[in-house]
Amino acid sequence: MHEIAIVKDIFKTLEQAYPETYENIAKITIEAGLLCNVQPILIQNAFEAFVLEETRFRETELEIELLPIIAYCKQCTSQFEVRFHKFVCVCGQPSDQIVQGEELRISQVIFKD
Amino acid sequence: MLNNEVIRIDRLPVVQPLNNQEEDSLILEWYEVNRTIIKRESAAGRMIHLDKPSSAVLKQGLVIYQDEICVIRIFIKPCTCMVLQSSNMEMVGLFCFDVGNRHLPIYMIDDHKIAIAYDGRLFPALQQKYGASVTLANYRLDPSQIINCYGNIYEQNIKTKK
Repeated sequence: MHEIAIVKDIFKTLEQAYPETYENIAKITIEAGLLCNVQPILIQNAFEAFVLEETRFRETELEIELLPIIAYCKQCTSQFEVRFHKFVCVCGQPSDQIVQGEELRISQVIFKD
Repeated sequence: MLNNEVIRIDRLPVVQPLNNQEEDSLILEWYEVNRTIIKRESAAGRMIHLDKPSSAVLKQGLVIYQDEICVIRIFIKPCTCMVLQSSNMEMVGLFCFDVGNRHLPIYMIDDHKIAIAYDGRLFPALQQKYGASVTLANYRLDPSQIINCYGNIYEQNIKTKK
């Protein structure tokens, strides 16, 4: 519910990382896990509201990639995808050892030519 | 025949029915329907640059481009949803209140079914509160199914005035 703040943080992070060129960003890709507690539509809508005010980023694209939940099975010593919220490996062993799904991170930044 | 030319779309076309056009799709996730700029390949490999006004919402099947060769429509990918199935209006109201407090869009799937996109943190909380009435299933979340209380009130007023 604080998605505008998250979007502002994204731009702040990029400004710090690329102080000379960050206004020339063409596309930002965000990876958001299904356990990260942030709904992609709220980030996407917050981004659209942000660029409406910050018109220098009007041409910038934001793409969100949803990451599935991946857990680790101690019995099989392998990872499995949690589908339909079933934290159970194909071998039948339940597991709450999360390997992926809690992330919210900038995964790619593309600059204009 | 496809070439490397980018199809630029800055306004939605008025659909002109023609014959023998190739059907093509711009595939979107459910949460991308409000995006104003999308640069992506269509299903058939055409490079698309969509630049639309923020007021235009991309709905399933909407034609975004048309020429003599092809028609490009929006295709919204189905996703895992948390579904409340109940004819108990009090439960439906409470559910909408809980979900609405998180500013999440709620979709009317049919008369006794409402859905929101799956969220790994929210699902256990909803299941704990609403029990077996909340399940998971795959649905296409189309913006035309969104419950819009203000829109409903507006429509109701129009009907009353008539």
